[in-house]
Amino acid sequence: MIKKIIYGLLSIVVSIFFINTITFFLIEIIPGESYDLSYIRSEAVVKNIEEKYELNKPIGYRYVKMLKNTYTFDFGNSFLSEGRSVNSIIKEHFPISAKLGALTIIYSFILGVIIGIVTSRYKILKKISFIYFVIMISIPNFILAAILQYFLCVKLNIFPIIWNDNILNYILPCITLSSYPIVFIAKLTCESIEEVNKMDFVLAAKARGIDKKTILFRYVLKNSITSTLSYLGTIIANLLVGSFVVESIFNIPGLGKYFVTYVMNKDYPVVMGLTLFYSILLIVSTYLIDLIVFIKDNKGKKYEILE
Amino acid sequence: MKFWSKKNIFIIICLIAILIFLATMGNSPAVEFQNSDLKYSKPSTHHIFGNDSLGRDLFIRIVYATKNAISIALYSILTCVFIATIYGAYAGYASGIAEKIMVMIMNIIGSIPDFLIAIFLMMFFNNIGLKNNNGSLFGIFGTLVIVSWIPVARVIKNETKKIMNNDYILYSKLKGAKFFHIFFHHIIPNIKNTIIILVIQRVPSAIFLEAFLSFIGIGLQPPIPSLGKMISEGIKTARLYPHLLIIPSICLILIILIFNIIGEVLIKKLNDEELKNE
Amino acid sequence: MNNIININNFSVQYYCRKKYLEIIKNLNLRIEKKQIISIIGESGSGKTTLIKAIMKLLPQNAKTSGKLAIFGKIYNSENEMQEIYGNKIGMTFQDPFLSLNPTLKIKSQIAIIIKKKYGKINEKEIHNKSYELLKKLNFNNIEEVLDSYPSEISGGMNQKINIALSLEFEPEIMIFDEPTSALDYDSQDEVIDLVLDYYKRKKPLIIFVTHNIVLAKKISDRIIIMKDGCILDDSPKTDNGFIFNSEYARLLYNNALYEKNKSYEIRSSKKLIELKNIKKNFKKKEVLKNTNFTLCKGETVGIIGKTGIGKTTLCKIICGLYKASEGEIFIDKNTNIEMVFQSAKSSLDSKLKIREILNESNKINKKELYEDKVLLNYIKDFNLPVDTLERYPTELSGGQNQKIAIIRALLNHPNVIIFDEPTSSLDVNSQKDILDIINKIKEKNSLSYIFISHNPQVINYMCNRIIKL
Repeated sequence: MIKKIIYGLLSIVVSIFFINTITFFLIEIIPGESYDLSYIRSEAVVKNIEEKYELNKPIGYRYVKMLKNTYTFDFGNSFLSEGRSVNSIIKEHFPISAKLGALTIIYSFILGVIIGIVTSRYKILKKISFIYFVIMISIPNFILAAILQYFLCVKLNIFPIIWNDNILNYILPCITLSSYPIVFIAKLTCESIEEVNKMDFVLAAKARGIDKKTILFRYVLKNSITSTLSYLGTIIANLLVGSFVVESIFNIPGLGKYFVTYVMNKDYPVVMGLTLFYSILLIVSTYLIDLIVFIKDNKGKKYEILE
Repeated sequence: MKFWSKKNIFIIICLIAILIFLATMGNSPAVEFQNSDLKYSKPSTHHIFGNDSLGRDLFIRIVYATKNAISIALYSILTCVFIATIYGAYAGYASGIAEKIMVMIMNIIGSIPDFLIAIFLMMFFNNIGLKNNNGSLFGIFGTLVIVSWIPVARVIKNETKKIMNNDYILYSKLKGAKFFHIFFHHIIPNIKNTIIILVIQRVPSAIFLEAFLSFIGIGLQPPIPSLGKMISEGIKTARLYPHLLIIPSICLILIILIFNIIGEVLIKKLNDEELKNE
Repeated sequence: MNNIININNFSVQYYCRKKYLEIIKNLNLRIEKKQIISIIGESGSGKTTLIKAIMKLLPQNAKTSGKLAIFGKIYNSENEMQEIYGNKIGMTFQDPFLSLNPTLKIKSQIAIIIKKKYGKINEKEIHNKSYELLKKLNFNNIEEVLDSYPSEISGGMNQKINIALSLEFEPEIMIFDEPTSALDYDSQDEVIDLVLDYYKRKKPLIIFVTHNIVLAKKISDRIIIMKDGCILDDSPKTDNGFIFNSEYARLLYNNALYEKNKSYEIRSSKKLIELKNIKKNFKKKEVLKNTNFTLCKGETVGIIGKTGIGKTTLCKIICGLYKASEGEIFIDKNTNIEMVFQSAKSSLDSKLKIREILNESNKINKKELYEDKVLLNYIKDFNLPVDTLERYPTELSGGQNQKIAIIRALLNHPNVIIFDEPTSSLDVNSQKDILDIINKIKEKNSLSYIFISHNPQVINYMCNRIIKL
């Protein structure tokens, strides 16, 4: 068990190292300058910047320095927004994205599981929901965001366009981002409920006359949660990517919106720093989820756990 | 066995022919033709879908954008599945250190977020300076392949592992069989159906990813038409010219929907057959 | 009507992907007395489906037709059965580890039952009653067991807890689905004692599903034999034991298949295979320890032992598939070893035609493929249908598949064949068939055999010498 934890931590470190390296060298390889200072006319200013950020030092030196920075959680500095460090950008904008993400996850899970339970009981609902599911996953989230914003914010004015950090601002983006996960969670829940329902211990419990509510919660759901939990990792990855688009459309000052802006402006150091940050986030959360699933699966096995 | 009947093989050959046709269709100059008098015009008899912000005929653009979306998706998925099958099958066949290393590679590459790969590939190819920004085509193709091959390889590895547990593999090994024999004679026939399902299931995601990246701006670059790009531009002018948003949106939703439906139908059919054999 | 259970013209079909599979066909059964009734049948005979049908616990895709009445009343669904579940009728299942909720501790599961039985009851009382329940089962460290999950305690303990929980409500009808088949001998006896004890106390109707004929003979008042979804034979206990009409039933009942007809040991002869002091470790687990093994020409050596003890590992070492961690191996120079595996399903690739399966070894070694003529000779010898070469393994029966596996072994002209439980997954008729064929070809092809089985009677029938692991 401990072996697995250590192995996991090790692979996290290795992955982050790899991503660092790949990111760094990819930027180096890109034809053209890895920073675009062509808009600056004055030679002196350019030279100043180059010195300050040590852009002229040999590649090996910069590589090692960058690695060192990562392990002290210094993600670098922006060139274009003079003086702004990536860390401050993260500090300012990430909490909003995190709030949105957390809300989406909770909402998707609750709604998804409920739909899953209900569809597993009634065959007709299953057929209807199937059609609904196929349609929902065919609508890309940015189109959904655009449509919702157009109709509900612009035309009908139900939801605000301007960002006020109150709950109303969060509702539409939450609905958009959760459309995809809800479908999958509902499907997974429904399938695993059906599978668990066939198992002997459920039949045995029924044969003993245990009431339906207990059977649903303590027997069926408890055993079908694992597959849904593992899906959590995928949701987080999707959210990270989806946030770019949704935040841009709904004008939410979260990390995603700014990330896109920096990419468009070719502010590479920021892009690299933020990408690193996202990657670390993703890797760590995937690892934690794997760990939770692993513990849950092996709750009963005190002795040698076979891999 | 019934799935591979003459009728179905014929259908598959037709599909491959369509693929080839799609790929070789170049961009007609009509896509780029700008007529500034017609800027932003609503649909009319001459231009069925109207014209966009630069006066270009929307209908032609949509046709070519759709063709791009489908062919890029199909090509990248086919390539990706090809690579993933070989990698995954070998990972499932091997044991001990070789397998551990292969799995570790998959995990490490798999933990790199898709968009990172997309961004860098796009930055790379866009700056090479191919004509007409064709570099972005390679960028998207490469992104889709790299992003999709790991989940596919994982599934194939797991299926292969199940196959390797059977006694007939033991028998083959006893007789001196190595990877290639087992791969072609035992693994492929048994995962044929899985592969098809994987391909079909991933095409809609590929189409979506391309549209998404183009929407953000790091996908296909103009002048190559892309539905995602058209939608992002359409949003800006949605109030005044809704058709520029609605028409590409519906088109994109439709092709993803069609592929999803084909996927579900195929999965059902293949599953029926699997169960019938038991 | 005084019938406890009355089944008339009863059929069960599974709707599986646009096809209706008939599992039970027009079954008639009447149970009037409260006694111990055993239902015997091989796998696929429909016995589990029958008892699940009685309990109305069939899966969603099952369709039933006909009349099934319990205590004179017909129940149409699980919901209607709710009133008699537990208090009037109960059931235990075969796999002990799958019968308890794997994610709840034992004490929680017992607590649920106790709360249902006694209504309002406080924590301390629940604990006391749980303690007593386990004490009656003769468990040693009760507190530890209470605090464990089902996967942490043995199969025997799981099964006993299962039975105890079902018997808590003291139902008048109690159905046991193969309660002992997954257990070792000691636990089996303890479980049977539990059942008989309950019978003595309450005199309920006990329906005992099993394939252990010896056990059924011992405890039953009536034996019902099922085959292919029908009741083939039905006999109450008479002074002369049970009397059956059909050949199949008698075969099953008498177990007279295997009369020992070989009792001589082959001495002298040259040694073909010899293993001394073999040790084999798998990731810190010692599978084989100081094992010795010899095979002389013309012998049939049997290897018997419980599951997991290392019989198959030993054979894989002999074949060269595994390397022994320690020890000496001697194999005579011209020895050609072939192997026939246990489950035909996994020893023949279901996606290949029989012809390709038989020719596989040639393909691997880039040798010329066998002509159909040659293969057909074997097919005829083994009484297989003429078009076998064109078929897939899924289109043949288990017995036929095993014959193919044997032909595949013979094609290489081996002088040693290892049989790894070749008949365990077959039904009674096919078993006899295969064993006879194995004996027939031995002389003809001057073979020596290594025969693995967990069934002592089969081993006795087939082997000259027996090694116990």
